[in-house]
Amino acid sequence: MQTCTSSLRGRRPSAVAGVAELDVTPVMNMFIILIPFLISMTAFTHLASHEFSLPGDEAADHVTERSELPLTVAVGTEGLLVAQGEVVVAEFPRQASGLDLAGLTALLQSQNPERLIIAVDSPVVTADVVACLDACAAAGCQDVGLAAGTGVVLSEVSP
Amino acid sequence: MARRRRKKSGRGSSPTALPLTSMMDILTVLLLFLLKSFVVEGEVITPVPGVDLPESSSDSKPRASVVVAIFDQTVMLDGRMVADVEPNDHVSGMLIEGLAAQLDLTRAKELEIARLRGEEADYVPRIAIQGDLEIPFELLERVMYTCNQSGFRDISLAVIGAS
Repeated sequence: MQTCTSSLRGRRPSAVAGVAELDVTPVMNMFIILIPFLISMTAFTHLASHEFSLPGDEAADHVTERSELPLTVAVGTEGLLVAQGEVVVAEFPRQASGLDLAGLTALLQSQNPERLIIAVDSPVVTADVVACLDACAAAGCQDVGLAAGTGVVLSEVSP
Repeated sequence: MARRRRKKSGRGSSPTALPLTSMMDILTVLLLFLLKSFVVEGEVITPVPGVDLPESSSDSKPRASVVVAIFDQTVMLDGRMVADVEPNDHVSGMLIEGLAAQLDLTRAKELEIARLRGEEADYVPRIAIQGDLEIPFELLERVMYTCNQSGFRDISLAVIGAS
């Protein structure tokens, strides 16, 4: 042990003298240019999408009778109304915080419909439509149709 | 004491190198993070300035396609304003003429490109709608109807994802 220590002690000065300092200034310069460029290009918002598959012209001419409609969620400015054919299943008036989506999700989970149609009133804003689509997806509804104002199913969406 | 003081003052007067190691570590981690976000995210559509997209829990990735942006009463196609829709304007039905004309041109161009590439059979007209969260559904409905009439039946409604 003593021999080893003495031998290291002997080497130390030469080893220290051999260490070269790395000049990192050019790398720093490169980073300083590259990082602001990358930050300016990076999208910090994560974009997603709801996919719609619209039917052809022939389907747009077909008007479904109200009694034949599956479970339908009507989205209006005053709130939500859930109906099966012509029978009203539930009503969720708009609250101060917005639409009662928790109530809608709970109802859809209990009903567990195979097919669902969302009928949106014209003045309702897009954010509310997207929120309803999310609520249907949260309740596990896979086959969701979006109805046009005339009662025609305009599109099918798979959340 | 005097020797120690002298020693201290002597060390202070000599030029000292700035320790850059910790800064280099931070910059390296930051650079790797930014490069990774580029590789993983790979945004195929970019949000149009002026459009506040609605937030959603959806996590399906948008596909590369023609982008229609709607905000206030303005409808834009791939960054160009193509129509200005008055509220409750149903004189010409649900069709938005300016948008329909441009969509027809776009579809013809895309179809020609697909034909030249020999991919005509696989060509599916796709469109991504970036609708402001405050626009009425009526306007969104008319844009979707117009897209459908121009043969764009696969529609993505762009939203801001949960993560």
